[in-house]
Amino acid sequence: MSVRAEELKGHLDTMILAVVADEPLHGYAIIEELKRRSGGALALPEGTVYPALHRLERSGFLASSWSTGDGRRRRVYKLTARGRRELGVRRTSWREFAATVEAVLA
Amino acid sequence: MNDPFLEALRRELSAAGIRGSQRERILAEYEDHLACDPNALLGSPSELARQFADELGTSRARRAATSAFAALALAGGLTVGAFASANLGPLKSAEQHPLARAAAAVLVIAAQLAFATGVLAALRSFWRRRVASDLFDGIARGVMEAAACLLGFAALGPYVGLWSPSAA
Repeated sequence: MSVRAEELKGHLDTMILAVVADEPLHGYAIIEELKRRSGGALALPEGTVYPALHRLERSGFLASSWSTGDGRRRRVYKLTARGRRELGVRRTSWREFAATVEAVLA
Repeated sequence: MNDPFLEALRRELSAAGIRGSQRERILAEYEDHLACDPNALLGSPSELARQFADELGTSRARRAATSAFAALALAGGLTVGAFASANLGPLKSAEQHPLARAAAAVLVIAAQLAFATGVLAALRSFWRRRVASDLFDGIARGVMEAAACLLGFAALGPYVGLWSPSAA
């Protein structure tokens, strides 16, 4: 099974917040973690994750800083306290939505 | 940085108005991504630049609207202060000079327009964060033009006999 890009709209931000909630990660690692958690089902247009990261940072849900490793500069993103609260709200909202749809489809 | 994708993205970001440290940060992130996976399919540079421009434009316009509203509030306060301390005798008999009458009308209308537009822009900037950036840009531009019009006529007042800057 694969999830199409248009089906991801509106959910990508939430999934990024969930991935970064465990530990600070740079962009490539975030994308790899999204793929790993989805079992490769996300047909993710990789480049579009970066605008989403910038959007989440501007909204105050993520904070970022440069780090150097392997001789390269990398932008590392971590969840802010506000982002953690937002993730909690979105998780609850998603579970209610999914349960509602499942109840109708079952 | 001689990767064709990065070069194309640099051009597209510049064309979209994203320059300086913001552009370099974006390019550095994609460069790091390509270093991790040289075969990564990152998408169309023009589409990515458009997405970044949308994000940055929205927040930039929000800041512009907030700044414009703050400037407007300051200008309004100064204008009220000027009216309070001025000799308004000539304003009461503005019919003595056609230009003064026109200036008085514009002064009142521009103030109302600037205030209404400024409040609207401020409300939108806080409550509707995802409104298209061009709408914000338009509102912010409108506020600035109205405020400039107001200040222009306020400054013109003493010269066309609208009021005297001397204390009453």
